[in-house]
Amino acid sequence: MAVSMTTARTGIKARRRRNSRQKNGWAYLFLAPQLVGLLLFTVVPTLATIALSFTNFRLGGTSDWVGFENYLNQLSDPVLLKAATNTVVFTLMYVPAVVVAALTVSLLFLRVRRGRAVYQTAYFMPLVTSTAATSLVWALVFQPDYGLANKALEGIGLPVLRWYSSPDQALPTLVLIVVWATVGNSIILFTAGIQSVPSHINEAAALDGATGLKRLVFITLPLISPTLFFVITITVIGSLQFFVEPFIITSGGPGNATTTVVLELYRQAFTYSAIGPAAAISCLLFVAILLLTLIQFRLSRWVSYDRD
Amino acid sequence: MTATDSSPTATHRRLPRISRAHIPLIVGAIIMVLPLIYMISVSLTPADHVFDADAGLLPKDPTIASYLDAFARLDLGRGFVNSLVIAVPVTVGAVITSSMAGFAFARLEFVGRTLWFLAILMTIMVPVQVRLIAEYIGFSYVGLLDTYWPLILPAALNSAFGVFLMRQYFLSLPREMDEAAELDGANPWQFFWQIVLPQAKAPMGALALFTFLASWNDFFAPLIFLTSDSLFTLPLRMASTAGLYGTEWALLMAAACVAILPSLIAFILLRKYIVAGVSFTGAGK
Repeated sequence: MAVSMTTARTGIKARRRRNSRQKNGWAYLFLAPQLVGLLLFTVVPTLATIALSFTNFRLGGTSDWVGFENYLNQLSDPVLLKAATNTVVFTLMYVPAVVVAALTVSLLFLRVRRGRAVYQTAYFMPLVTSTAATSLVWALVFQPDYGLANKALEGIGLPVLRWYSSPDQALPTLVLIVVWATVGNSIILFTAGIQSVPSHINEAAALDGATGLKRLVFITLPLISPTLFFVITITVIGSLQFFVEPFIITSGGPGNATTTVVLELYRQAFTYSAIGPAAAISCLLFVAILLLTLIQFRLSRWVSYDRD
Repeated sequence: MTATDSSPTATHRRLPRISRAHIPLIVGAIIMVLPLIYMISVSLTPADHVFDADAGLLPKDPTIASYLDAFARLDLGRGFVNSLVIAVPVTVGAVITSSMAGFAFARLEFVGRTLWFLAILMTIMVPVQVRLIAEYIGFSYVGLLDTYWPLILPAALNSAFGVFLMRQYFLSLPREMDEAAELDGANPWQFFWQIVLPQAKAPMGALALFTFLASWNDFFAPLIFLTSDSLFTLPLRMASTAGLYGTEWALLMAAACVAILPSLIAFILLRKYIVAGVSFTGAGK
């Protein structure tokens, strides 16, 4: 009796093991295309870029290990330092602007019952349109001599601006354009976050006499803080990789007033064929993004995830 | 809210009340659409009247001459076809391979499941520029620079967003389905292909839309991998045009309108999917 029980058990175990081995086979069949893609197009290229950053590789030429030379050269290169400064300044202007704009619109969205579809269409349209195309129309709007923006300023009796053709105004002009292009993304995330706040909390606050602004600062914002952190993280990461608008509208100019890190990386790799230095820049960018993501994850632990 | 409104003024308030929130929302919406209206307006303005001192927001003698010009001189038709030839296989490939991987992660038990899933999610953290430099060199070694392969293969076979999206959907299906299928003697592929996939049209649609738009609007990868004019995608063609015809704004705006038209149509028809997709994963621009 006892013996047959054990054999039965081992039989089940064996079948389970066979089953799971079969399942392993099936699972890896299903995963095969994406795992091949992961290895070929992310893991290998990332490792290769790290390796390249320590060489003086040239396409079709020889390549030698140069240690940290690329990093040292790049970190003391005035153009890259200017590009890094521009990218940080851009981030410091863009992230607060887009967060405040998106949060404001989201809160307004939730107060209207009609017309939300129309508003969504207006606010989210830039998300689906080609940045190359919309950059061109902005280049025309902010054209300093005959653009619509200066016509409007003249119309209401204000002094005209030089917009992207002046070194001081170029970066803020690009901030305006990118906020326009990307605000919809954050609006969607905030709207979803605010809607997931249980309505009884707001109702209780209203009964306690909390007014709109108080409710926002003491109730809504803390409750959506996970969303807030998520939005800040992805907008910061996005702005560190800022490229298309300066490439198309200003080519990094005037001077290097709007040269960003990725634009400089692009020039090194594909204008000057300096693969090693470009790889070093992209590794530095990678490290910066990883560090920022880690810091923000750390900070977000202090944030309340407890909604019940 | 209205329950507490018992003051005398409440009677006329009960008429369909329009929230004051509409005023700032309308102002914002106008700012959002103004550039696109201006784009259309300039594209319809006779080329030599774009900068007339009295030129307003609407064209005075609208003409489609710039569109004809754009198709003739900039070969927009070819750019359009090129963009499609890339975006369609990318979309089909990414939807199929992501569904397969998402299914495995959600419904099959296997060794290394958590590890591989985390590995795929980690790719989101790697900036695209880090990959592209080495990919450029790799594709140059196999002689595939200036072809569509570097634009199609990575996008079709390496979609962390797609795998994540499909996995989340497959997790939500009832467990009993698997057992019933196993009792019927269906193998995992039959179960996936005949039972699970037909139910997953909504997330597959959302993923298809996102993938298509991302490929259609992509600028960086085509800029790096394509050098022949005849292979240029629509955004690339426009950007190179801007350099050559920098002052022909009517022509440029006509080209820009043609480039964004498919996205706008897709967006207006499928707005709900886009909103759901972004709120689900944060993907977007």
